Amino acid sequence: MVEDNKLLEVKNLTTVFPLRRGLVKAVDHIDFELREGEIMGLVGESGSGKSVSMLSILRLVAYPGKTIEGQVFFKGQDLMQKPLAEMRSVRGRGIAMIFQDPMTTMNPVFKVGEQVRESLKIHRIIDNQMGKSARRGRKAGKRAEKSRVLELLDEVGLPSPKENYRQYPHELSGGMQQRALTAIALSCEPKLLLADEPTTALDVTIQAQILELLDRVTKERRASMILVTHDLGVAAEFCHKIMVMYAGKIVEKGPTGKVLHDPKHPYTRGLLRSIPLITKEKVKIKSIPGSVPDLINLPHGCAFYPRCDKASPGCEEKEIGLKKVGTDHWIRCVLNE
Amino acid sequence: MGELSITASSMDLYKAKSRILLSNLSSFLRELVAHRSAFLGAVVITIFVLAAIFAPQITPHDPTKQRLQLSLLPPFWARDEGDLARLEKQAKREVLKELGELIEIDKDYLTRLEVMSMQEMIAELGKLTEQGRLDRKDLLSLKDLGKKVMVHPLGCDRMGMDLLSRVIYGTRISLLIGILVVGISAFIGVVLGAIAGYYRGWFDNLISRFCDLLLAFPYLIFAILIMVMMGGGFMNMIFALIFKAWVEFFRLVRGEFLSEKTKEYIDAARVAGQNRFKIIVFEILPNIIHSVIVLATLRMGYMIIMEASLSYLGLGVAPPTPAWGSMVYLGKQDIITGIWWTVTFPGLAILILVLSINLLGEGLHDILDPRLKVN
Amino acid sequence: MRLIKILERILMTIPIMIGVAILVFTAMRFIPGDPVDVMYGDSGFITDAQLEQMREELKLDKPFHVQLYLFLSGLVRGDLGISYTKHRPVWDLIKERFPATVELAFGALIFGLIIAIPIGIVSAVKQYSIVDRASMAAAFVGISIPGFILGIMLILIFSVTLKVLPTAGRIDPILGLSLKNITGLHILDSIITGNLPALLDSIMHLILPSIALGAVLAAIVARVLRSSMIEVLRADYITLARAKGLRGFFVVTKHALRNALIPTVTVVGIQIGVLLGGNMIIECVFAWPGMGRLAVDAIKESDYSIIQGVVMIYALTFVMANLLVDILYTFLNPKIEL
Repeated sequence: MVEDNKLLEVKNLTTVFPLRRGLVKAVDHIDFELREGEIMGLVGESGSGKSVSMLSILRLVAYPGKTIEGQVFFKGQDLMQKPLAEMRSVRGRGIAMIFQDPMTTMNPVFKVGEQVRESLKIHRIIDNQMGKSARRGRKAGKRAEKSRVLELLDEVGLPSPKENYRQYPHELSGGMQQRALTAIALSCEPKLLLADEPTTALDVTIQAQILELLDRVTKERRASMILVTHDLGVAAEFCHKIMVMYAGKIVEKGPTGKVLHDPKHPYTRGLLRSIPLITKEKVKIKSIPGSVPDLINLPHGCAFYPRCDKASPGCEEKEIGLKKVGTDHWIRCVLNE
Repeated sequence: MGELSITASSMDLYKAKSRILLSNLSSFLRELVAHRSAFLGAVVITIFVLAAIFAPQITPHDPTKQRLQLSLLPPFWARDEGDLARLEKQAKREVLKELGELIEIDKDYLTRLEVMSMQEMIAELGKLTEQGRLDRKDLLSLKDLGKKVMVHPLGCDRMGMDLLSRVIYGTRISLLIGILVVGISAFIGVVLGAIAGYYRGWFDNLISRFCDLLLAFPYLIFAILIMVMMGGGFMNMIFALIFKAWVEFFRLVRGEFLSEKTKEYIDAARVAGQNRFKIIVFEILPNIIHSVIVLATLRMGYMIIMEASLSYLGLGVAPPTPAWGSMVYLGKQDIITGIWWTVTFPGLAILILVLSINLLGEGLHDILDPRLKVN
Repeated sequence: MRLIKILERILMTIPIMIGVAILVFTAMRFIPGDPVDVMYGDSGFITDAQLEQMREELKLDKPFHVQLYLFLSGLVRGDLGISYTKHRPVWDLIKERFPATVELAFGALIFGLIIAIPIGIVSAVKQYSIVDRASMAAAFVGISIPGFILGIMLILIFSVTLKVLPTAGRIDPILGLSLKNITGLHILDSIITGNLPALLDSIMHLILPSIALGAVLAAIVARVLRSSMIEVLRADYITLARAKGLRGFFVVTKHALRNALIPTVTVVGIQIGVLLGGNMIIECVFAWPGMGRLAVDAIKESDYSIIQGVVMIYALTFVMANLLVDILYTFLNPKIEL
């Protein structure tokens, strides 16, 4: 069933890692949807399954991980069913990804401009634009590609695109690298951007710039974005809706306003409480007690149960499903206040 | 903690460290056994070592005894009738020669004995014993001699020297070279590397420049140069091999010292007043010794190959002393006529020994490296 | 900028080469015995006075530093002295044999790399598969077997038993006569002159020695390439390349291989030394008419001036090869500071 406007619909997505010690369910039956132009924040601690979810959408999960269940409808087609060749044309073109650490994400032996150009070449963007006169216009094609790359580098805010084009990644600062990676992501005009903690590895001052950049280019293109972050403040500022993950499962999802101002799940509440605020009074930072569970030996029932301050005996017995607590607002909890 | 009583606690520290070392040792041995390929390598090496040590006891023959009659005798499974005839003839000859030294025999009788088959001859000697002309025990030793001469499981080389005995004895040379060269060059390299790495300065520069010069030569070429200079022979070969081998250990130890020096435990030791010598030997060295051990093991195989190569070229150990390399050299001329055993068995011996050493070395690398990082 | 760095590197090799020359010369002078005796001592016709005269001619009576100076200045001019046993300039002798050695060295290098690079890549991409395990086991044996043993085994199997390849030499003598000598490299010459039988024959002769000499190189390069590929394939930029929609084959060959080659090239540089050393022995095993055989024969005849010349040429070649490898490295690795 395909509704208008639904760009991405994920159902029951499950990705596991069979390790020697046991089976790790990194992504455990997650469902969500995203409309055109929507920005969703995916929030959670390390190990919650955020990054693996993103990789699963593009079917890029590294061996030994495997996506064993689920459907990912992108523009109405299930990506999980597509043959690999078609999947490759979705990657980078329909859906693009930006990774966390720009220094390690760029290939150190190729020039920056070349790496942006590669995306254009893979998806034959210029060729298609110029019509199929590939043989005649090879030089013209190259020039067109180069000028498009320079346009992109300029659009992402790189100070001297011509120079940056010829530079190697290690000659750029972290912020500039991330901008270049954004250019790579945008080069083929994707409809969906998966940004996996794009600012975590950067200086605080640069973070804001990059986030604004991402926000701007997404809105300009009327594209959608999933912004993975562990920072609720970031989610608050840029996202239309928020999804909170814990131990591979979604524990709360809903419109940003509702989730942040009226969080229903104890974990979300805990996250909000632990944000240090600059106030006049000295307030003790309330952290969530305990630590993220070992994903191989998950407790029965609710995974958050051992750390929950509102836990009751019923929590650890059975599997808890997502319950609706408001318009578009869902939580995975036995409580229902 | 109150005051630092340094001297007393230093002693305890050393004691504690050796206790740790011993418990490390036993867990190390356990890990070694668990590591299948390293264990296999160790077992095979042990077999070779035992063979080298007990060579006189286990070899059927003197490795340098030539029996020209048996020249190029094939291994026992590849013999034809002519070979068997040769074998018997040689056995008879030796028995008769021995007999001639024990008792008086006249020429006619000797000639008659010579044309008999081995069995008949033994029977005849039995008669002599009954006649009282030959001691019982001499008869037995003659029979043993006869049997022994026929035992050449792997065949013989061109000079009629038993291959099996030569291969076993050759183990001694190869192992000796491996151990001596690696041991001495490791020692030199470690000492020089420690000093150069710790103190730096002119000493470091001098030795490093010298090393650069040495490294400009391919290993074998350099060894050849030295050996040409000094003449062949066992000791000179060791010298030639050591001359370049220490450089690798030097560089390794120097590099490790350079990086260890920046670490905090050195500062802690100096603050505690330890003198520099003690720091070098007791603090830094134990931390890097594992890479030295791994390097030493891996180089040992290479040294054995070097020795074989030099012996093949005619430098190094001279024939008829059994060394695998020179055995191959001697046998090479005959391979055109299909005589494969003179070169194959020493070649296999080299291959198996070096393979086992390398297995052990790689295993050691797996075991020692990550463990000590945790340490 | 890069050019300057390269020039720097070239200049740095000069003191090394001088050092090599001095070292070899000094080593030769320490040999006990007198070259003139070696040359003529046995023939009873020559009087002592004539021996003295010859010593003078060879300048053996001059003090050490003078001899050294004469040697070095001769070196610059390409004069390596006269062979004691063959009575010809050493340089000429070496020149005659040099192409054969080069051909063998290249044969081994090409064989080694052609085998090692694909194996290294496939083993890394399909880690723990049968191909991986088998080739790593083979590589392990490859580093444990001496080259000359491998060579002899190959001869036994392919030349003596199977009779498919020749046992020794570089080319069939009759075909050799038919081949015009342009570069001295038989394979090139036969291609240039269109001499097909000679080409085929040369290749057949080159196969076994190249395998024997190149096996160690192949084994080591395969292992190193495999382990650096494995590490590289774990990197984030590889995931990004896939996320761009790039086909797996290109991800491996374009992105991963370029990076994995960087540490591999360094190892190849070191192995060229082993190649040159082993070259001598392989030439003996296969009766290959190169420099190495020249030197080994000279050793047997105690012709020290040939030995001196050949050792130096080998060392200098090694230095040059390392220089080339260094230069190649700076092209591969953009992180080298300028």
